Amino acid sequence: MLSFTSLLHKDKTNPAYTRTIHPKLGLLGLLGFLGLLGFLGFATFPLKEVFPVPFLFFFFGFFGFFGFYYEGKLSHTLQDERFCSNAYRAEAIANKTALLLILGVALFMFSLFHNISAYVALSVLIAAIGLAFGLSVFLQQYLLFRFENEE
Amino acid sequence: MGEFTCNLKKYRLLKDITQEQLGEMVGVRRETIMRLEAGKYNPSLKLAVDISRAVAVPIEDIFVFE
Repeated sequence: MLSFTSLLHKDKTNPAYTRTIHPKLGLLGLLGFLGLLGFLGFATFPLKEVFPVPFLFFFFGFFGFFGFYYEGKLSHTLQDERFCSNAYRAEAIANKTALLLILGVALFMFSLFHNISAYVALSVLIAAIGLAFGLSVFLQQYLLFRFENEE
Repeated sequence: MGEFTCNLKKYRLLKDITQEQLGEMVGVRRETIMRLEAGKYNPSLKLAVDISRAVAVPIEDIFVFE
């Protein structure tokens, strides 16, 4: 049985290496499905009163934990200049993709649906931002893994 | 930028050192040395100078831009 400390271990003695993470931590990405709880706000009026802002949709951001799988595969890797340049490249692409997702959803929603209520508009925006955040976190690790292993 | 040729492998073998050893000398991974030798990675000026010093060969003889 793996303990939590063995799953997530940061090598403080040598910061030049990536942290040691077990790839199984990627399963935490399943927590992203908690974002579906945001739909409870539509289904049950009392909950909508308790949570007037549908922030539960932001739990979609937990999908980003799937990136731990690829980060685990790159555990204890020397961060030399090629690794750093690949990390910057992956980060730039991931952030650009996430920003485009948010902008795309916002433009699509506000251009097509004029009679949309404020609550629904806010819900969609929060869900889009949560998904974009998770996508960005995941893509950074996934693309870095791809760049490191490409021929 | 013109064509990039890397003669690192030739000089490394002349010095009889492995990719792993050269990587340790200049602070990079073996994979980075491997890609350098294959001409698939352009090194920074610092890394190029470090490699030049490690194999004791002028930098312009190792990395050739035509």
